Amino acid sequence: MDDDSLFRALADPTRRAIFERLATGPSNASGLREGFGISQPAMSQHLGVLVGAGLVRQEREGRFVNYEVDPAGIGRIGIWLGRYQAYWPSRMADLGNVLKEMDQ
Amino acid sequence: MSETIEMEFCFDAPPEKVWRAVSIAQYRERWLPGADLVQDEPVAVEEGSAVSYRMRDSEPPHEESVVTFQIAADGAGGTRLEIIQRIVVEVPAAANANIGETMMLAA
Repeated sequence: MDDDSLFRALADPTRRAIFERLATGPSNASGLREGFGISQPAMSQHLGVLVGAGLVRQEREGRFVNYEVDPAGIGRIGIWLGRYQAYWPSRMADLGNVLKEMDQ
Repeated sequence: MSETIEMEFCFDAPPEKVWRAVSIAQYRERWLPGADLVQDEPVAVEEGSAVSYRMRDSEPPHEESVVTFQIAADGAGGTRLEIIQRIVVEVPAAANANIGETMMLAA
């Protein structure tokens, strides 16, 4: 799994839309193409990037490959958010102290 | 789902003073250490109202982000400080037409 590619994968609007579609439920590549108006190779490439980023996982079912959101990928976004959501309140407490010291 | 952090904090100090504390490196270093930044210098400044720094997560995979501090009077002599932090992504040339361009994720 390539951690660095996680946020890059979601920076592309089409990939982001594909990811958000998958967030509503699993689908195969041809089902996903409905409503996107992109070629089969383009869809494959986008899905490949999402899978490579660990955001989407694939599962073969007979002739079809099903794609679904990988909860672990969402978890990594959550970790980044959580880290800074805890970081800023303590930085702001320090800023409050600096402001008090500036009075003196 | 969003990769943007938005937070708001209030201070009794007036906006002019908070502005100095967030924009002058000597003060900024005392509450936002340079070790957490890519560079000490701001990447964007709107004099008196907004300053942005590029940050680098200390934990792997060391995601880079831009944080903006927006300063406004709270109407009671104090300051409302808004923090907006967004992940910065380098778009890989292979997957996108806009080669080598740096962009930020929208909220």
